[in-house]
Amino acid sequence: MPISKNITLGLPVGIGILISAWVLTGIYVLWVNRYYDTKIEELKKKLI
Amino acid sequence: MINMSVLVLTGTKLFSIGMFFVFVSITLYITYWAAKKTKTASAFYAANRNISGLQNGLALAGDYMSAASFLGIAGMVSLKGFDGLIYSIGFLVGWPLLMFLIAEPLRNLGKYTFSDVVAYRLKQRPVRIASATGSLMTIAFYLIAQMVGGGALINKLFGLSYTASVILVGAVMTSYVLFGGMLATTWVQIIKAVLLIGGATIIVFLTLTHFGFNPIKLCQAAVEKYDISVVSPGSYISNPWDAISLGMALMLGTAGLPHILMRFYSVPDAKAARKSVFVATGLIGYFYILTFFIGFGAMLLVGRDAITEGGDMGGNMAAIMLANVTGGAGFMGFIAAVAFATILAVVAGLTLSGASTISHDLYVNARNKGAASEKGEVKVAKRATFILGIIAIILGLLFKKQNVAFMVGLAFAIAASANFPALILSISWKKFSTTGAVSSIVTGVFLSVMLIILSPTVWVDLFGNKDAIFPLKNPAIISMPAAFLMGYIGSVLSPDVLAQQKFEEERIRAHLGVGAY
Repeated sequence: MPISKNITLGLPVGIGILISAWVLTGIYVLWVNRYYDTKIEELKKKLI
Repeated sequence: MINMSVLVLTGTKLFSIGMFFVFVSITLYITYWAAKKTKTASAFYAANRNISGLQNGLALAGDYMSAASFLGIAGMVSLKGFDGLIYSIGFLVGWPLLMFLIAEPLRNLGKYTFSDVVAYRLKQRPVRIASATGSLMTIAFYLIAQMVGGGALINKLFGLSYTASVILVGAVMTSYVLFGGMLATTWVQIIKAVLLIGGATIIVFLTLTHFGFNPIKLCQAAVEKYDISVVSPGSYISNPWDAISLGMALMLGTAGLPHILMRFYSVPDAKAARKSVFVATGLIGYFYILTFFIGFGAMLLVGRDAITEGGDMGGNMAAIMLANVTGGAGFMGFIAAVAFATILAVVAGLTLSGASTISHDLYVNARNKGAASEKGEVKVAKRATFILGIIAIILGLLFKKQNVAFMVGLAFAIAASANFPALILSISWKKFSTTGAVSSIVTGVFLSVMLIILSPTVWVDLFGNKDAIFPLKNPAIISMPAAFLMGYIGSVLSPDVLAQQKFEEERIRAHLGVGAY
């Protein structure tokens, strides 16, 4: 399915998947460092 | 057009061999440095958990990007176009999965190997033996593919005899592991990752100069030269079930590769583990974008006919020939040396993982019920390394003429079917029992191996039968769900009350890191 001269949709989608896979891991790291870790520390204090 | 015989110019060969010697010397010196620090089990298996998130990310990327992916994917893209990207995508998307489901619990629950996690609250002996079997089978097939591919590559590029190449690879990589353990192999992986990504970047940079630095122009030119099929799916994988099966094997197999999972124990904590996955994912993703452009560049600047000249239908010379065309014989020599380094690094990682499984899972835990002195464990691990090195060489020589490309696919299928289901069920399902674990792993191994034997690649191409009994090239779509199913059935039929009681404690440790090594 071409989107511009001789370029099919699959090409940007494919490369897009590769990039978004990495971005997803990055979003996770940001979220977990910012929010999740503090919650974990609170829980740990309650346990110990 | 280039003639293959011209590629093996004496001058280039000497330059390549010279560069390769520099690499080997540096890495052997690192091994010597690491050897002084590698006396304890913690040092041998996990580099004393002193590897930073960034370093481990580089090492993970180095461990994962094999010569098969560099040369194989570039070659496939050059010959078949778009379908080569399926491998890249399949290989990469396993990494976010690792991050979300496995990385942190794995690090928190285990000590040295992923079998620690599978057997965490279950009966040690049967589960350890089963898990070790799944690990060793994955490692064995992966190792054969790398040794044979490596031997053939070195033979082609450097003119060394196949036998000499295999022995050389085996000897050098065994030294890395035997003397330097995880610390040495980590640094070998890091160096190789930098060389490989750097080299590939330069190839793409030089290639793009021919196209005004416009990658879109590169793809368009490829279509003009051949036809629209190069940017369309279907030239390699025509059956959608096959595509799904392959995708499943690659995606979930990544989360079941023992040598990758083992790396997670070399970082201090879960936080570093997650950082290393982030770094690795970025590097590997970038690398796969590069291999895609290298494939198209080779298709255009080298030409399909030149790539398959000499009977190499896999296109493994594509990337190297492109290096020659864009950067001259010297640059090609550099890339050849990098490919050689890549083989060394990956087989070292596999051997370390195999030795760890044999000593930590089988000897210490299955045989000796968890009791072994530090020194004793290290001794067994080193002996296992030495024996594995010899076995690797023997296997490489035995499988010399075989087409072993399917073995990496098989390794991933076993990893996805035998290792992954048991691992994830053990972490997340309370009612998972010892019987469930063993049934799951055994089913995974048995089905994936059997279905591959009955598949077109082995039954027809290797054994010469007319029709394949199992129609798909990759068994994952059957073997993996079957392993999950057997894990369920086994747990329901034969519950493990002790394991259920330990689940809460496991959860706390997995997610909070309380009590982690």
